Amino acid sequence: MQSSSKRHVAYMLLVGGMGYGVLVLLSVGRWREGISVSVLWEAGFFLGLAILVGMHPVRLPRGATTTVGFAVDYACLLLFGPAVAAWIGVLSFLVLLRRSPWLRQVFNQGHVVLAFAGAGLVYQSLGGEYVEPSSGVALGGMGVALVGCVVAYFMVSSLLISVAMGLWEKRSVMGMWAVSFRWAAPRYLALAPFGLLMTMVYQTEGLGVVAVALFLVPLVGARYAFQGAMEMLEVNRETVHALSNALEAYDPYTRNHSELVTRYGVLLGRELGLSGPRLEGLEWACRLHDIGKCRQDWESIIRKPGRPSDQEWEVIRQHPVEGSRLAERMEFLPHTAGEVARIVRAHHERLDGSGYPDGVLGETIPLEARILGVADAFEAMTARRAYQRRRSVESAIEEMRRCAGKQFDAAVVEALAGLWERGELEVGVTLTQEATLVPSRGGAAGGGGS
Amino acid sequence: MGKRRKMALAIYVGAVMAAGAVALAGTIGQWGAVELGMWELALFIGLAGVLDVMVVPVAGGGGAAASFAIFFAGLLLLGAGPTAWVVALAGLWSEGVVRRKPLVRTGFNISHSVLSLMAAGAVYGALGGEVGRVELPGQLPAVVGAAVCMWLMETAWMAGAVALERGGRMWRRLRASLGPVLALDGALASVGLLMALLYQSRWQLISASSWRETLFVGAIVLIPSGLLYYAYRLQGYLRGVYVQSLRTLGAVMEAKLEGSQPGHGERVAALAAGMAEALELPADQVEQIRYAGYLHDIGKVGVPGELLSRGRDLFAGDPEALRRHPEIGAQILAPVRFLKPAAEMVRAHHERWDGLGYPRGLQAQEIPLGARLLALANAYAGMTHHPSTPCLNPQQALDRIRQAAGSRFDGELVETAMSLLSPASSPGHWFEQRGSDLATPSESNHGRA
Repeated sequence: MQSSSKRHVAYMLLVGGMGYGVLVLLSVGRWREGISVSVLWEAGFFLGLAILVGMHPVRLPRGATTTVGFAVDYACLLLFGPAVAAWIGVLSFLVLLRRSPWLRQVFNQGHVVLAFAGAGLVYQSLGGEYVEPSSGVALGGMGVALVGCVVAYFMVSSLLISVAMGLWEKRSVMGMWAVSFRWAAPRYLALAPFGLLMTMVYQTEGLGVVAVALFLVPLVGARYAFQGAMEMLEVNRETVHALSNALEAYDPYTRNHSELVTRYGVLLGRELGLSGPRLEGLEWACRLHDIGKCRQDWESIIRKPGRPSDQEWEVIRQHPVEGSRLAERMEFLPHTAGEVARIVRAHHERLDGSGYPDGVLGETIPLEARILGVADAFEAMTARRAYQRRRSVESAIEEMRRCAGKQFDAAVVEALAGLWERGELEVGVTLTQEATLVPSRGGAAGGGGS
Repeated sequence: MGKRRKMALAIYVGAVMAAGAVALAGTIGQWGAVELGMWELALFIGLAGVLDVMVVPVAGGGGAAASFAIFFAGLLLLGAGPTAWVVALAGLWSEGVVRRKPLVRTGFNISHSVLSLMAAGAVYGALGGEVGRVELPGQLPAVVGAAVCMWLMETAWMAGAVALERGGRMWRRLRASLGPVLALDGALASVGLLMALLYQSRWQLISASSWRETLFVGAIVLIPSGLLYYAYRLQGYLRGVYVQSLRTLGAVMEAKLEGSQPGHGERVAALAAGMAEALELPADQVEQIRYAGYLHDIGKVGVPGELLSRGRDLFAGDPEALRRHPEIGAQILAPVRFLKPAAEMVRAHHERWDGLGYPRGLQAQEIPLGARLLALANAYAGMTHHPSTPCLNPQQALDRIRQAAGSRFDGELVETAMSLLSPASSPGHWFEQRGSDLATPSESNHGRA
């Protein structure tokens, strides 16, 4: 946190301060209405629930995590109103974030209070009523209010967080908000029905706590199964990573090639606005783009001096096709299936239609394949290899700019140049990377290492 | 499948179906006692129909359906008799119409579910549970007892059928499936109990069926069960994806290395995993052995090509550089923690029973069991399919393996291999038949060239 700017700190404190202020106002209002001990007990139960749920995050692909806390938050709001719900949020954060820096704690507590206050305001103004346990209020007929308060909660929460992230990473707030919106909105929509069901279950005469517990058991089971699935996905990634590196590691011509192409490709993809499944698909395609070169006679064909014969040329032209066939067999995620194969197939196409294997033109080449084509060529030009002097990055970019519009997509080349000028592009491998990428051969004997 | 086992399977299936039919017929009288409104009936049958289609495959063979939740709720609310008819209807729909299973299979599955349900109903009654008036915590023992009974019996029927169909002792099959099914069925029983409680509390108080209540209770059952089903399916699907990745990468390696035989990894994996199954090893160990089979020669990417392409006798010594490939292979797999057991097997797949193998010269039991199986499978596959030296027929290969029992190979495992592979017991190389529906990836590589 030392490096955070003054504006960032000021903003975090401001949100925290506003939150505490609103919490006091809400509490005073609620106190005047009168609050019974039994409601406090029930709120305590939900506080425990919120902490429990918060301590068991669900893992998502690529190491991110999320919690299903919003379902509990929503139930709390509908059952107890914003004041008690805000207290539950603040107290649960006290436990959940106890190891975080104090500034983050203050911000998070403030932001949850403001989100609840906003949601409560919208809910009441749309005619929603809080259904305090055994108050007999039915939720039916309040559809608009129920949806409205989810939207309000999400808008307040995501805007407050986007501003904080924008100030922290010095990026545009709207850009951050667009990303978080796309990522988080579906999650809120999916979790809201769970919150609603939990509320209705809790309201049932004489069941309350027991019913909520029974309702949670299958959700916990699903969470563990989902966790297992995500672990499998991670294991798959690690394995393909290790094996594809190994397949290249002992060949001085290809060593680390796919590893580096993957790094460049992902950087370029992010720079050009790809995210989520598309970025994921691009990453897999980069890792596997040369897998179609698996032929015992590949080396002799490709290293032969002089022009390749028609037959050999056919073999070369076919490697993206073969690669896409293999990639197809390794279908990864439901949402990337087929995509990876399509990208691999098109990574030697050129904008002017002179590429192979299909000779397609311009925009009909998938963006991911155009990115992969640039990353592939850039790695080939800048690689430090036994047989070839390393070309400087500047001259490689210069060369690619010359071919932009014919061989390469100009926008992708410019994105590459931009990354390099801003110093965000690390070219080649470092010594520590070298050690982890290439398994040691355990001795000096063996084929030609570099 | 042996004739005797076929016979036993027929008797088993026939007996279960007959008992199921009798039980079902015996419950007709109980319908009179049940009062069900239109919405309630629609809810039960609709939910049963949807959830019965959601089947999660279970380790050890067979599957578990999400309809456990609704059947359990039915048991508590309507009693075993009427619910048995819901089971039968749902089974006809999901097995017969949706999955188009043969009639015998459909009948068998319905019958065993009916029998489990009746038994669970008896347990519920015996432990003091009242149908349609579940009260907690007083009747908790009855509720738990009924759920446990349903879980045990459902898993046992399935394990029995799988054991008779595919071989292996039923007890082992049952033990392999009980754990994984427990987590799923426990969660589903919780959904069923919740439905029963909600139904009792809301419906009977409001005393009129309404579409709103139907929708609510339906959502309470459907959403959590559907989520469970989705998460379990995803897990199984990704496991399949993983195996496919390993096979493809193994095939890519074979296509790249000089002197390798396309399909060798596939054959070794199928053979070694087949032997492991015959030895009734735990399912996850069998899986690791399969993975190690696909990848056992991955370390050869670090060996110069001219050493690999040379034709050689399997029993002659290997050149020094080639002797390093098990170690290199294990190192390649080292970053993947999940593959740790497989990496150990890869490292030791050229060790010999008498301690004369490489790289570490391990002896007898010091060599991991999976690696001993790999060594056997590797030798057999190498002798029967070799690119340069003339291949032996299965009998000749087995003879040579038998000669090396106790020196090169583990004598006991050789016996297992004999009983599985010898032309006398099943001339069809069952492991190859089983593998044949999975098109060998490397074959398509070479077919093209």
